Amino acid sequence: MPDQVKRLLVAFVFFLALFFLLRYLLIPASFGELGHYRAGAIDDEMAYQTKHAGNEACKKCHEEEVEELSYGFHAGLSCEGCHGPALRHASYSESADPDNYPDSLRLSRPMEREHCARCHDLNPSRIKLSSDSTDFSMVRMVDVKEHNHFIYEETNEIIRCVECHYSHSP
Amino acid sequence: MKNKDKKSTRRSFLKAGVAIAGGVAATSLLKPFNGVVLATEMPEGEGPWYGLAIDIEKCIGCGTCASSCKLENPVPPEPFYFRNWVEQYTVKNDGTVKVESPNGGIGGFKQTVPEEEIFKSFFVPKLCNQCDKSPCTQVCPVGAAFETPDGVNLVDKSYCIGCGYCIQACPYGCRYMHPTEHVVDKCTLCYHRIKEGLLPVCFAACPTHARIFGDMRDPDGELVQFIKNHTCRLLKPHLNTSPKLYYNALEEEVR
Repeated sequence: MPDQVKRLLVAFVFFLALFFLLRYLLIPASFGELGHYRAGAIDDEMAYQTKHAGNEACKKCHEEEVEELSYGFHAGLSCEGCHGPALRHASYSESADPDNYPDSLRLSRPMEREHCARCHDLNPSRIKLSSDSTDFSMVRMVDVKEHNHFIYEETNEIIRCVECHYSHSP
Repeated sequence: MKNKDKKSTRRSFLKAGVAIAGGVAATSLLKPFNGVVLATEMPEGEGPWYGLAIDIEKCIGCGTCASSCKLENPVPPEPFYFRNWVEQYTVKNDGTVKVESPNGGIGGFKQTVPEEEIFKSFFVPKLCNQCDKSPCTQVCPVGAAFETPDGVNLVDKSYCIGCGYCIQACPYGCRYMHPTEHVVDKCTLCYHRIKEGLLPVCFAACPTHARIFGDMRDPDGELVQFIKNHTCRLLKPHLNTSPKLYYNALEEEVR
């Protein structure tokens, strides 16, 4: 074998080894197990902690409210849809005494008209019902600006929906 | 002499033309054209294959889906980063269409068009269509965008190089560049929740149950039954992305 070919072969073997070494170092362990991606990414995604607990978790302490919610027109609503994510709130409640409950874990109790308006304000995009309709499977709509627009003299605040309608079972 | 040449050229041209036309006609008989795939073809395999459906007739545009998603997942709070959002479509009497989505629908909607000008109006919730032939996955140069064996399109954030190619490729606008992590973020169909047997959070929070999540392989499941019993359509089916998000009562105006 001529000398120059030998020298070329050495270089060839060196670069081939370098290629496989780099390939080994740069490609993550689980890459290609399930397809052209890192299979471990699925586990990364599953490791993320949820923040919502679900109505069943609320039931442990707020049984009465969950019960009321189950038979009124608001049956089927998620508690956390109005009150916000409750997993930390719920898991803390299981272990600690309720007297020393930290304020940071308390959930919101939205009472303002705008909150009810998200679902119940007049909007032509929603299915329209006549005011005397008896179809209660539909979401009722009122003009939230006009409907019973009383203002308290002492506080100069508009009367809130929740003062006439009980939001858990309207 | 000159005339004769011309004649023979025309004849051979016509011959070739007829041969090509005949060939195309014969081939089309053998294998008819069906380029547009309306329903997704199920891949072979075991276990669940997730899909979703949205009933536009039930959506009241409260925005609870969009707000609960932002509370559950690490989505930036700015009003232009969303994993899911709601659009309010208003078709006016003059035929023009107005689409609005203030803060993605979080906090509800106001109708800005006077009622006498409205022909019809409705809400369209949007999120990742979890396409079977997803363009976003196909264009990723490093294999960071991928589809799990159970049919969810995810992003490997530790592997994404932030080139943004997939953002351009998604025809539904469902991806965005995370402003601080500088990698692409998108709806994961709450993969961490569905693997624990919970619903994705927007599906659990919807007050009118306009969103249906389920396994496309389960013929008796809620999702397959819903698709069977409703006139469902897909968004942009002509792009052949095979989305797994089925819309009931989807209007022609929706893009």
